[in-house]
Amino acid sequence: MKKQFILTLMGPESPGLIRLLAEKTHDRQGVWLKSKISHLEGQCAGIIKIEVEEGLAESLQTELTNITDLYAVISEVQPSSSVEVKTLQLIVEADDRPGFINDIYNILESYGASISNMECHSFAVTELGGSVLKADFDLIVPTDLDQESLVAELEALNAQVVANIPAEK
Amino acid sequence: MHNSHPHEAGEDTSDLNEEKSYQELHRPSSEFASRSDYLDHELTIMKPRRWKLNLPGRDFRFEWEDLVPALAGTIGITVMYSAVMSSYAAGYGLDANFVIENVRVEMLVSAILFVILTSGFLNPRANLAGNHGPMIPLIGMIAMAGGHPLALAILLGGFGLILSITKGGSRLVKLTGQGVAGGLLAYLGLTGTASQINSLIEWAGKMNVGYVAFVVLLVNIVLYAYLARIGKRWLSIPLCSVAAVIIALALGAPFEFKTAPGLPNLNPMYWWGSTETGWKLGLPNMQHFIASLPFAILAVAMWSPDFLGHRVFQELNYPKKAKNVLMDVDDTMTACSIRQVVGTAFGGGNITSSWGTYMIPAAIAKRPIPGGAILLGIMCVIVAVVGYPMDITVWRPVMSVALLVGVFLPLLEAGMQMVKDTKDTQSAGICIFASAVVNPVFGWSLTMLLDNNGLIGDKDRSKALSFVDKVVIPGLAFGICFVAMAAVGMLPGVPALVPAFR
Repeated sequence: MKKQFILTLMGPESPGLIRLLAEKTHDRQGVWLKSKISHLEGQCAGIIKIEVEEGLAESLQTELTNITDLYAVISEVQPSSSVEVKTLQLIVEADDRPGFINDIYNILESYGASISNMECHSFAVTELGGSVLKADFDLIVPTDLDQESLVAELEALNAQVVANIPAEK
Repeated sequence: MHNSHPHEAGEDTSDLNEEKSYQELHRPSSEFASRSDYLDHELTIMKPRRWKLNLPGRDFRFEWEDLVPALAGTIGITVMYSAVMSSYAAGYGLDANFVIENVRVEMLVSAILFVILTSGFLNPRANLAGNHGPMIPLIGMIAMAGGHPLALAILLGGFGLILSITKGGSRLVKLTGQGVAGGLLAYLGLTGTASQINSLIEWAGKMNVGYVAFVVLLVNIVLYAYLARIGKRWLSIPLCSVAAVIIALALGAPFEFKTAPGLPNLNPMYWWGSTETGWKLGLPNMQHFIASLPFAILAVAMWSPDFLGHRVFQELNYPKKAKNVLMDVDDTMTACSIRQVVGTAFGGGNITSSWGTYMIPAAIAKRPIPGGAILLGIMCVIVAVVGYPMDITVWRPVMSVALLVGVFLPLLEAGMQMVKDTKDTQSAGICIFASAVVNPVFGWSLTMLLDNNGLIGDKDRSKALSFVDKVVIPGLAFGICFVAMAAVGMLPGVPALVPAFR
């Protein structure tokens, strides 16, 4: 049986630190389901969701928390939280602006959605001296995704945004 | 005509809406908290019939808001048709009477057959077929290259019909990357802007009122900037044109009404059948088709993104449930293709596309296509028959200002906005460079081929394209355009391959 946990880490940035963490996980047949790692002024902070066989979890957690100079905390994850996923189509149309697609990525990431395919086009609306954007996403999302909330957050990104989830695949 | 069942405004009746007709679901505006709620409700209950008869009262209504797109569209199209015909007249050496009469042909034929009949009654999901603004700076080149408006119309209409039948428009959208598209629009906008400013200054000089051009331009720079600042740029054609008329007249620029009420000649043989009447070109031959081919390819390639831009803008302004009234891209392409061939067969020289000066105000005013289309069609017929308004639209201060603020400056800005990062900038810059060397058809087709193969611009985009989108279609587009341009002598310094063009 698989077990999931969250590793939260903080410490001085050192070359090969992330590779070391990945190797230790890999040595115990573990995988990183999701990770966010930031570097600032020589410091590193990150949060990683790891899945590993239950019998190997304790030893992996010990190894990860015993890395020199690294402050690491382990938090348990309820197995039911996001193991089951489904595919979903998402269409976003908006008045275009620089950085808009990145903002969409950030929101999708915060909902645990990963993008399996994306097609994005900008169209000039020459009468207005501007452009509009249409982005089609194929997503892999947790089964318990709050679709209404995702759509509401996306539609709050710009003055004019329409987000649609047409049909579940 | 409204539903007799008492409803509370705003009540969710989405399931019932599927079954009931527009007539049954319509409720008077007095039942709604605001005018905006009423207009939103109208948009969500309409069920336009595609290629079947739609009737006022039964399928749609007229509201005073329909006057907004109708007026904006009428003013916009009169100026644009005047600009196209003036450019053709300059290229082929035709006189001012030709311009007025040909504008009248376009106004009448397109308004009656396509604006009123097609988009008003037969298919309100097809946006009106108007003018293709980005092609205006190319009109002079088409004439100089030995192109023929009828040959161009037949090719463009044929390509458009093939695209609408095969639903190939979406593939075309993928073909041109953001950098190339932005570079092309910026080049067309910039050359058009420079040309109109020069024309206005030159005209004022000839009329011995040189200062008029500067003052008109100065005031319009400020007015245009203000409209952009308050987000009302779509009002720039009417407001800036009025400003140009008032300032130019007040400063003593000469103007007189010359055109009397009347009807134009609608006999195709008058326009195309002789080298003595109409266009004085006669019927097109193979050389005319070769010379027109590159421009037809570029025009049709710009159709799909133009249509989709209007459709997305409509979706952004309409309520979310208003799916039935959104313009159908394929139906619009079918209507535009037929309108292109029929309008030109009757003698008109316009190059058509989805009518933006109608659609943008209609979307902002939250009105569907049919009511405003019928009003606009009637206004166009009145303008064409009365004739006087065309004396104003072909008057240089009005034509130049309207084209500057309504077509070329927005085109330039839209092009610049599409170029967002350094990868796009590279493709856009090379597209502008290549366009300046030969013409925008050469610039677009060459840079599309280079861009899609990752030789310039975004290499990651290239990896995601199929072999057909990377090599086959861009290669064919460039090859055909290059050979056609070489054949007629459009490549600078290279004699025409076909002796008849030398």
